[in-house]
Amino acid sequence: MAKNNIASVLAFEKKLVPSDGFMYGTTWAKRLENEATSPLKLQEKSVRGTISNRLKAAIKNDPLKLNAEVEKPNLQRVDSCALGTDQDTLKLHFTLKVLSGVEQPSACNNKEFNETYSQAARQYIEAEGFTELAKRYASNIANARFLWRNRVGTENIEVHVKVLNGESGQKWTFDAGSFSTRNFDSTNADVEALSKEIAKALSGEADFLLLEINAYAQIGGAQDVYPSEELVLDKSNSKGGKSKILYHVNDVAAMHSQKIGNALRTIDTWYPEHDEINVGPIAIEPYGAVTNLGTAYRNPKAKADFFTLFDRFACGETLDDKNDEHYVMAVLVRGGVFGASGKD
Amino acid sequence: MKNILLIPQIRIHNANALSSPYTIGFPAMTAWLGATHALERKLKSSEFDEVRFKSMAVVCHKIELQTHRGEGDYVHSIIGTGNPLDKNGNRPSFIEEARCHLTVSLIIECENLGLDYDGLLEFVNNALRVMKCAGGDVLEAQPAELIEVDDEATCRKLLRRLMPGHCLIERRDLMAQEMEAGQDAIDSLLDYLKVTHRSDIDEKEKVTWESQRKEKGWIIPIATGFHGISEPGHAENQRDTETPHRFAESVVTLGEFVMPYRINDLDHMLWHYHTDLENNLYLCQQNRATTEL
Amino acid sequence: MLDPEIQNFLNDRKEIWLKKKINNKTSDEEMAELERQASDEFSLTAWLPHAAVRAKQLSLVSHPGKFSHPSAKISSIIAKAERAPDGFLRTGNVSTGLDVFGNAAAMDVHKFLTIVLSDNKTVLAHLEDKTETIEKQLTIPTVPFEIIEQGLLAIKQDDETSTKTSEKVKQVYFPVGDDYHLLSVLTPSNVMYKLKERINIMRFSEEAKAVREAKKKNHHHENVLSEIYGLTVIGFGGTKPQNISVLNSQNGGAAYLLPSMPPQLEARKTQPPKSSFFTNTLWVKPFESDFQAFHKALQRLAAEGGNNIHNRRKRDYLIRNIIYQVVDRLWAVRYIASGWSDSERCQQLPREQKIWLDQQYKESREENAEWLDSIKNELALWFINAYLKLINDKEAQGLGDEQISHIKKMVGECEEALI
Repeated sequence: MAKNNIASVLAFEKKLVPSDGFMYGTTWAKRLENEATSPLKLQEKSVRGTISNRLKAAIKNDPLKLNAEVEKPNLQRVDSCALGTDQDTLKLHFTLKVLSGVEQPSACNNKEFNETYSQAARQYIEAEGFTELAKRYASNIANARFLWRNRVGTENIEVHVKVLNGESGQKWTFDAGSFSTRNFDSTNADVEALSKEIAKALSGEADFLLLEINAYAQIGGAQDVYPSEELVLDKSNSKGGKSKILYHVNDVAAMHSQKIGNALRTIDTWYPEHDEINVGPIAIEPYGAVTNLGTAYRNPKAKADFFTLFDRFACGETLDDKNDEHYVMAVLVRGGVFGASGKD
Repeated sequence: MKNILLIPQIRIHNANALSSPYTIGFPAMTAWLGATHALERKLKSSEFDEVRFKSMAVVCHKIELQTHRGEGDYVHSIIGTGNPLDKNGNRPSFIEEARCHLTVSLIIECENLGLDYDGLLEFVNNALRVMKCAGGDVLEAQPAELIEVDDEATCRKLLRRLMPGHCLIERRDLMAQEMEAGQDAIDSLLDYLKVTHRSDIDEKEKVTWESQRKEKGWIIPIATGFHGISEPGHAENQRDTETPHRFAESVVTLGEFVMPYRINDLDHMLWHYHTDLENNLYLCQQNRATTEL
Repeated sequence: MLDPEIQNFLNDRKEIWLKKKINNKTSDEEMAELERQASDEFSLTAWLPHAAVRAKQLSLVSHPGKFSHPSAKISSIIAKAERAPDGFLRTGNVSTGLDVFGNAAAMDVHKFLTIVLSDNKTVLAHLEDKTETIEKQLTIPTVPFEIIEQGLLAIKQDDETSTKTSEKVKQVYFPVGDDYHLLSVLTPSNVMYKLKERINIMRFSEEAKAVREAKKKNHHHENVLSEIYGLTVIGFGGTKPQNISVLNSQNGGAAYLLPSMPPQLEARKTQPPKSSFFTNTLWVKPFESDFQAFHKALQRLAAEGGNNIHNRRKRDYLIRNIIYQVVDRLWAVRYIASGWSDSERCQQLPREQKIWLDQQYKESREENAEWLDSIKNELALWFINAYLKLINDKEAQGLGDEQISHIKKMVGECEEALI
């Protein structure tokens, strides 16, 4: 089938739907007691920064100017967040919804295309049952990748997962430290069980799956924790604004749902350079873009980008590598607008 | 008598707060009727295919708009979300999308409920969990209920269930009145939104400033539908090729948020779709318009 | 003779061109040469045919697609709609000009077309009306007027043969009977920026500034000050607003959004009552105009006899309206974090009021409504006293027994709102 038969309008809803992550403080010993747990609030700090940016040559080479510049009180107002003095453990709470229906775009304006795509997707589901992707998503719950910076330098991390919908009431507890964030090779029975539930929801065997996830990270008394930073598209032109604004919901410090979603879908080890460079799994993105590295690991030139692979997959071609199919399906689980008229 | 399907306390995450090119905040009325319509379509393709939704109302219990105002700023700025990088690893230019988190209850007037109430409610509860609502994700909701409203007492009881919260009603009457008097649409709108400060000076030269809005009540601009600006036809890249396509723009009028106990007739809070093709209007309008006594 | 506005336009073009060419190394000779070159190039005869060719690089539009997404490419739309007092902010109900987008290097052509001639009509309007004036103005020896005319008017024509929307534009299904219409929802940039212009007059006009200053110093001022609060600024096109449209560029890529939010009852703004809700929280002053209206209704009722159904309804509406405002205040108190009434400061608050006001009693409030009678009585009493306090009409002083019992009855009818 020729390429020009790709639908010009094509969109998919995301199938992994996390809530925001809410941050609480507690102690490791009493982490499961609600009474010992309190919401973490943001604090506003004035910090006196030192000049640490590279100075202009004109200033650098003039001792007088340099002195003046360095002595300028570089006062900044920033949000910060920390555990209480009597607390040593961060609790992050969120829910995760897993939906089915990947085989059905939310918008598609080409019937023929829709049919060939749906067929290809159904074939994948039949053959794979989403087990590979589900295992990777489950691993990223078990290893607490979603804690991001809060994961660094912890003594203990425990992740509690509970199925909220249906009658099963299944529960698991994971010792996050025993799971790698570099690979998905673990063969833990609980991860298997959790991934089975995720796979069932993704492939439509179950209506949906709703998980409650509580992660406990022992990071030390009164230590700083890291909620998401807000991206304020400031138009006020005023000086003296805050230079760092952190996210909170109803006065509880929080992590953006997008940030948690990004961690959960950090499962791409199939990009071309994976074995050569030491970056590890990257988040599922159409061009394999990694924001903090400013790099796209699936550049269209290498023909490893989503659009190149998807166009072939959706038109019924068998991809050379099973891993390419996993990747394509993972992007569809992520969701987005992928029509031929909207590329770029 | 009315059969009401009540879906209480739906928590929605990252809903679309850009209700029109002129307004930010509570999602547009078209989004709420749209969500209700989507639910009805799900029912139509199930065993409950006879059920029809006639009209609906929305009550807002809580809303957090994702904007920021720094100390001393006059205006708010939008809080964006980071967009993924493009194929060259560059950050694409921002498209400012305004979002909000909110909790609402939906009150849906139904017909042809059939007999299997429990089955229907279970279907609704499950369907809602996997739906999008006003562009946002449904995080959770309390179980849906079916309520017969056949007299004042049952009506009052329902309204009390909706407290605390605010229900959106249309006050197009106010804006139309100004426009009848010759003002254009922008001035008519702003007249009801602005706060007017005027000063008075007494014999002792004591100055007092008083502030006032034109109308009591919480009057706000709301988006209630669309205005077709090209003839129906076909366009390249439309979402499906079979439905007549038109270019359109949002229409905005005045609305009012009232606490539910002020409603004395459910039809004053219920909305339905209404098309006026002669004037190219695609509207959400109330079963009974609110006008001043 | 060439209209002076057109001549000014050409002169401006020439100046701009020269400024770019001349720097401090330019010799006098070169200068003279450049001057001559410019005079040639920016004469009407030379400039106009070129402009007529470039006009098609621009499109006049009412709804530019790039406001939806910077990479959305759609047909150029010029919406036409009748004005009607239908209560809607939409195209047709505000008079505005059109926006324009296209090759930035051709924007001078747009500027030319929007020149207002001595008769207060734009060049474009003249061309569209095919006036004699414009034919006289734009007839040059080298190119027939018809060619010039056609070329310039291309700014209003879409050279695409088919209609085109985009995946990047929000497309909405709207039910029409048993079927649907699919609506590509666009932004009327001209209306959006007209709104900004009106708000900016309120914010920044000299008059507004003067009154605002007087208010700040609590000085008297003849004029009133109008303010719109809670605006949000939205940006289009980031650091390159010119990529979106000309109007967008002229507005620095920023428009205003009006707040459309429900009231936010914030607990911290409400003081808990110490001894009684009715005396601590319910000040009568804000109710003045409501009681005045109520008073008038009573007078009319007395004058026209109590049987006039319209008058009775009006009175009841006004009573209910006051009661509901009391309930609004009630909810402001209920938003205070539950348990507030346990504080020592609230010791004197009667038990019934604690149950009524503090959300920690939410359940018991509904189970057992004994407290309600006392609240209803107090509310009726408050109503009557507030009326007496606010209405100083000696003749009508006091409410008759009949009215008092009617108020009590109305409070009873509203009791669901009080629970």
